[in-house]
Amino acid sequence: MMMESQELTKTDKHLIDYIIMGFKDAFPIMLGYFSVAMAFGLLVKSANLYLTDAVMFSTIVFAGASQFMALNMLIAGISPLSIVAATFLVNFRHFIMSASLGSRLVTPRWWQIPFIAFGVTDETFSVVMAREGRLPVGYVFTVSLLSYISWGSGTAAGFLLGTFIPDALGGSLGMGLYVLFMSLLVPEIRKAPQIIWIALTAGILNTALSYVPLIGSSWSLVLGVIISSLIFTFLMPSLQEVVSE
Amino acid sequence: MNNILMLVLLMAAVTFIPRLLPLVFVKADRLPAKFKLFLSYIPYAVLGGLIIPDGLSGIPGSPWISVTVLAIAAVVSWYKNSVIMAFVISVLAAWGLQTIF
Repeated sequence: MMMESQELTKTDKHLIDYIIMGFKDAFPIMLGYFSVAMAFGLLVKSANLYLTDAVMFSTIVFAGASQFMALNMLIAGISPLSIVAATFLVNFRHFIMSASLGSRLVTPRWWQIPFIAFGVTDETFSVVMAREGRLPVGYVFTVSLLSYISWGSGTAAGFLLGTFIPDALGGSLGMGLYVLFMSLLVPEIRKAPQIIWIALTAGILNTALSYVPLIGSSWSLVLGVIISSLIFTFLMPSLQEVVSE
Repeated sequence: MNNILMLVLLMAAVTFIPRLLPLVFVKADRLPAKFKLFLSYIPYAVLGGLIIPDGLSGIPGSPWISVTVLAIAAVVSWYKNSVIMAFVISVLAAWGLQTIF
């Protein structure tokens, strides 16, 4: 993204500019989502459920990891209420992401808030937050809407077509989401090398805490992110000039 | 109403509400500086937590290919701040490495 370093909320920018930036930034997410969603669609089919079930999961819940988890629990015959509880735990990380997004978003109109909130995923959050300055609602919404469309249509495609994408390519595009995270993180580290400690601490805590009973992998990411951010809020106030707009 | 729809609606509710509440209550303009700083660190922590450990086994069964691909992505992004370029090169590398090994 060549325009990454540009402030988004300049007065000479119009909604159409934000939409174009949204398309550019959403592109890697769309490729990654489409292939991961295809795998989900295929899994729903192999569980002997219907196309409508697959599409309902992806378009009403719209939260990747929890959908795979729910499906596996469903296949294992685990009670629906346990599935809902597990979903809450796994998706609670978006609470902290929404709070962080809220602190950077151009104040939305009340009716826009639910649409922005619905579109908060690991990937859309990471991509829009890599932009500098206040984030226009039109831009954030474009990124989430395109990601959403890709997730929904990928799910249907996977159910209907199976793996018409060769396994290796599908796996590589899924890996592409981690590549996306890396390519968002590294330029920030280059600008402010201390950032690597925030990221590493969160990663190590996420890994370590996932082995702790009662925390597990459903809480480890949330806790790792909060603890790491807290530590460095007090340890590295010097970063303030670099990261605040 | 069938069971799957019921499950989906409940899952959607417990997913949507945590995404919604902070946006309703967090107003960018009136946050203490320290809290804003904390919130500004969250994206980096999230990226770190997403890459480690899950990204290290992003290609199931091939941790070494996953790590190599992440390293390629890191090197490309260090020299060229272009997500698209890093994405294309790394995904092609992932495909190539999987096809060869």
